[in-house]
Amino acid sequence: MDPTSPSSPLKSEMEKELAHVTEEMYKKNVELTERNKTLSLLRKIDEVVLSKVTDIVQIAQQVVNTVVNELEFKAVIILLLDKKEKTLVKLAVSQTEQTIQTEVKLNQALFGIKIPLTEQGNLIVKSVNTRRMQLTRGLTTILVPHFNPEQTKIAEDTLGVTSSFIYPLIVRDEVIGAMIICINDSDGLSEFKNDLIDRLAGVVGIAIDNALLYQKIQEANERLQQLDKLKDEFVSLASHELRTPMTVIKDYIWMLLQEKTGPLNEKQKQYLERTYGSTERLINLVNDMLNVSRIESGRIQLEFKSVDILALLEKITSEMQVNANERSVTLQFNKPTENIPPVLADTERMEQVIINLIGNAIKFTSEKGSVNVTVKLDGNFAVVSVQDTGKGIKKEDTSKLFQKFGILDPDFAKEHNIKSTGLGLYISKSLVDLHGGKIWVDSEGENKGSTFSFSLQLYKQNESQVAVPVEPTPPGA
Amino acid sequence: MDIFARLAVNIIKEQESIIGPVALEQARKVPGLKLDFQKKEVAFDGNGKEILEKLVEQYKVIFGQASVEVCKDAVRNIISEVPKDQIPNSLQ
Repeated sequence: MDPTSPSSPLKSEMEKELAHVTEEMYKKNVELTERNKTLSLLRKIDEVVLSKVTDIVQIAQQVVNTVVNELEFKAVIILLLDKKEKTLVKLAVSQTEQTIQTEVKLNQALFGIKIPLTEQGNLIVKSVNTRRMQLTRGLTTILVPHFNPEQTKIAEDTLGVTSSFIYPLIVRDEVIGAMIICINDSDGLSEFKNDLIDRLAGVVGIAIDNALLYQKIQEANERLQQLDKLKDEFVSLASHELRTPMTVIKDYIWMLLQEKTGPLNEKQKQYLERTYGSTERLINLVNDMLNVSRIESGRIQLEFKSVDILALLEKITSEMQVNANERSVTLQFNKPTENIPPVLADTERMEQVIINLIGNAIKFTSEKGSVNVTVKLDGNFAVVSVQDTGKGIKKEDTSKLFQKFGILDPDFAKEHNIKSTGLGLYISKSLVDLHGGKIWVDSEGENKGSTFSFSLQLYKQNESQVAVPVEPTPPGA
Repeated sequence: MDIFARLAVNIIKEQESIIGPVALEQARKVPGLKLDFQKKEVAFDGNGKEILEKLVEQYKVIFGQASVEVCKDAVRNIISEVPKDQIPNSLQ
């Protein structure tokens, strides 16, 4: 018999096989489609969670709206657990035509739903307390005691709800709220939806928890910023209040020391000199604290302009010769042979940085030692270096130097009568940073001297006069 | 849109999500069913209940009982709007 003839048993067998294969492939396609739908919904929830929206109410609202739109549920409600008040408070109710109608019919009562945890007859409370999913017909056991039976009936009819699933939202073993999924299952519920409902609670729980955590971080951050501002204001105010009387005290001591009110004996002179020194140190500390406060609160105003760095270094080294001579240290400015163009800087602040570096170098260099100041070009930057033959710095200590109160060796400072607030290098670093430059230190180790350097952008005409913080590559850094 | 047309659109849309354009090809073979699926529109030339029955049957012949379940799922949300005696047997 011809196997292709319609009555051939072989052909009939093949047709059966083909029908079977087609049917099986169809079933697999159905499964794949359902998984696709699940993934698509989860992706949409992810998009909500990862979007720019950070407000928890908005996130919850978008999540419930997405779930209702995608799965054609009648309503989805998310309640958040207020542990302090021991109450479940509405976070979001899906906004559909039906929920809005219900809200109107129930005089705005649905969206303000609040359920005390003591309400034992309420199924949401039971779900939260037992940490188990609850399933109920209609809405009666969900809305009690918030609504009376008549109001509940209005809600059920308007929403078209026949059944409700109640899931506790559990994250990291802690109940954070509950989710109610209201459906109409009078014609059954597809397997896909049944399966998805089960998984939704976990996903929504994480989404809400994320938003909650973000909100807490934001609140903590705001609080910290407020505290920081208060601290700055306090430091600024206290410093101002301290500086004025300190200056008056210092002036009167100076007058006494000048013997304007009569001659002093040696003991009196010694005591007054000590008082004068201490007062001066206090004023320096207050000034430094004021500077730090201004820098950290962003209140510092820099006036960037073209600055002749050579002239500035010459002027400062000349002025600081007195300090160097007092400690028998040689201070020298080695003028470069190459032409150094002007830099972009705030003259007053740059002067402050240079004085600090040279002052430190003189302070930490023993008698007969030397301090050399140089400047050279490095690409678009001028690099100023202050090299001394002083105490030097251990490699492991270099990172601490530019921190607040970063005095490395208080004993050495005491022994050599060095007056330091421990804020100078921190202020210098902050100012150099604000200039878009970099500051660093090189030292071959203890007793081998050290070199403090900083870079400054060269001034370019017709360009923005504002220094942009950049990362120059300092030589040897 | 007429309720039967909505049922047909839902069924074809759901089948399309599973088997792709084959769903439209098969729907076009159903006598009395006029399809403009780009506009998501269908029209009936004849008895709506019978044409819907044929549409479900068209899928069942090729893809078996599973395709009937898909058709039922596709109309689950709106089938209650159809009078009981007008619901095709295969969708009950």
